[in-house]
Amino acid sequence: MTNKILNYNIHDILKIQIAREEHFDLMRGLDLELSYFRSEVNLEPDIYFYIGKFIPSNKDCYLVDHRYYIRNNYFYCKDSLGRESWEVEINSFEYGKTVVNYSYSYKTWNSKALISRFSIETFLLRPLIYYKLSERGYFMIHSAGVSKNGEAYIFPARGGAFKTTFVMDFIKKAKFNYLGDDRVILHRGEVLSFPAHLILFNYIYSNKNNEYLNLMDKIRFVNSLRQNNYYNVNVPIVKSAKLKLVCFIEKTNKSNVIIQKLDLKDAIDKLIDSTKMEMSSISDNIVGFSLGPYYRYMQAYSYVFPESKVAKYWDELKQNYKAILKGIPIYQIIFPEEYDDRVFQEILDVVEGGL
Amino acid sequence: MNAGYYNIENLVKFALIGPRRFSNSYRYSNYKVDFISDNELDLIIRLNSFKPDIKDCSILDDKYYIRKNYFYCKEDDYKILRWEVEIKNLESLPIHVNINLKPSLLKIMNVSYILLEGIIIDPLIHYILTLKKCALIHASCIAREDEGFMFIARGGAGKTTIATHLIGKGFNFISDNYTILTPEKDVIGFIEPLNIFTYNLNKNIRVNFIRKTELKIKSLIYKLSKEYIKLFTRINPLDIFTNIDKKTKLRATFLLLPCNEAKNTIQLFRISKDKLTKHICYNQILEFPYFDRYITVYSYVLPNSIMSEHWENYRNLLDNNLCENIYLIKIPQIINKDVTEIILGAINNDKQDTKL
Repeated sequence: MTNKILNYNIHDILKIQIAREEHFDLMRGLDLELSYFRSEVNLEPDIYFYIGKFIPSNKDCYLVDHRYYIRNNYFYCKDSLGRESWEVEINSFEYGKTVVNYSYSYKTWNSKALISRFSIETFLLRPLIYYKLSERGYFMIHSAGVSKNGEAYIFPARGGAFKTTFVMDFIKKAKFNYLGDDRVILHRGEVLSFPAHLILFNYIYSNKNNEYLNLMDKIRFVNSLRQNNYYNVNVPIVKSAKLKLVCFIEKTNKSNVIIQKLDLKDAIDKLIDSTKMEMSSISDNIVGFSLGPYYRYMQAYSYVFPESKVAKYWDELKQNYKAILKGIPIYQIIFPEEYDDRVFQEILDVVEGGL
Repeated sequence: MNAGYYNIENLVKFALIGPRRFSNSYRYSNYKVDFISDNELDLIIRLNSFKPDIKDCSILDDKYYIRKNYFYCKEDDYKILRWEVEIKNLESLPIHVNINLKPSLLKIMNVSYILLEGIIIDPLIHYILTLKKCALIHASCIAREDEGFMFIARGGAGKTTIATHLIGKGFNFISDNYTILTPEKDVIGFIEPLNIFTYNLNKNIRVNFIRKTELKIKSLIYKLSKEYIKLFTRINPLDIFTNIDKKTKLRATFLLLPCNEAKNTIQLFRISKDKLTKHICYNQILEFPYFDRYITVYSYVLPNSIMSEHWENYRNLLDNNLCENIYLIKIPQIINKDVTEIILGAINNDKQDTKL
């Protein structure tokens, strides 16, 4: 079997190489999520992710829960989630150039298998990207982001808060540019774009007014993937902009819109919790929610090495968020379950007026 | 609907209401009492279908509904167990919990209640204990002459085995899985029936032939299901051990880290209290992953709440109440006599140190 190699270059900060055995993969999972960063040149990767059979070198390890094999800078386990199971070895878990070996085995063949297979990979790689970026002084957060005249406005939120829809509204109705509808990267006073699932966003942006896809939309979307138009994107993306305003978005079942200022301390705590949820979530447009594996791997490693960089990760992240957000105006918008023009107008007012 | 009342050493009083097999819990059977009046209860858990009271909530990930003192999770799952849970009065006692199990194969079996106890009830007991300035530690504990020795480890690492070995050497039993550390620096056992799986069966636990066969079959199921179905056999320590202490002063703590090192050497060294505290916190977080998630979700909406400071409060309790004699011991995957000897040596030496 030959290996297919894919390269991704995230703003020249982090380079990822994925090698996998060729197989039929309808959704082209990882490729779908990171397509914007696809590079045709072979790069010296910071994360090398091999998908296929491998033999682990898990000697001289501490054992946690009969399952996690841990030694300095090394992690290995056989794991399962629901009905899916996999085996993963992470060399340089704590520092250095990371080499991941990953293999997936079907417990039962079901129609979901095609989708969940890529999910597990994604949910290992995604937190790893968070971790590796912050090692370099770049901090990915779960947030929408738009820009105008070189100034960035970011909207940290949890899932289901219409991030995608109002980012589309910003672009279509108010001529803003796109930084991200799910994640952005913070670095000093700057916001860098992170167009995750750009192809999906582009599909919604080009064909729909809101983020909800019915079955026909999904079929059309999967069909459009076959045409391989990876670089044919209509979305006005900018690479980076100066951080101007932070506005947390929270969906509630209250009936009115509330806009309030948010303390720096509260904002930092919220971002930390959100990142924790991201690193422990299986959240996706296609798959449901459950407890994801990587956060647990970090905790198992921290249990063995409580003074490691992995264990100190959250405390350091707090300091870094603080340095970035200091002096930036921070708001919180609480809005009702029904997103409509009125809600968008409120958000736009905050952004344009600075209150 | 049946109600079962439980009183854990006058520290946590709770009621389980639901089907008989749920209310009449085997796990908490050592603490069952006839009745506790409503105003004395710290925790009331109902297992039944319910209508969540989700008005004025923040909605996260289209799954969690949060407002001050209130938490609702629409659906969560572990393996094939699925449930929804509502927690009211989170930050001031008594806590009211509603749990509804969604239809699944497990629902018709006892095992679903056992899983729920581990996923939701144990962590809530841990949380209430923390509110009452007591720290629940995932540790076994034994005592000799009014001095307690605690063994901290992850599941299956040898907590129970080492404790039972040492009981064979004349120590008294305090607890096998959870130990409570009080502000008076006492350790108290929170005795849940032993989870016997073949790997921690040793000669100090006497089981009859039928039990032994049962264990072997369960072990076979574990292997055949590719480690998916793990069936424990529960044995109540109070039925096995005769010398039981309720409470004692903590004298020394051992952190057990199993290792698959080829040389199989056992290493013992002292570590600082600060480091041990961190180990224990991660142990507890690993033990209660769903609860940890619920805290994170709640804190996201209410960053200045008691709940959001839970792990910090827990750490402070450990910091204040743990004693200084702390050892980390690297042990082989399968506990042998040498491990017990080395620990016994450390316990005896420790005693000599103080006499000098």
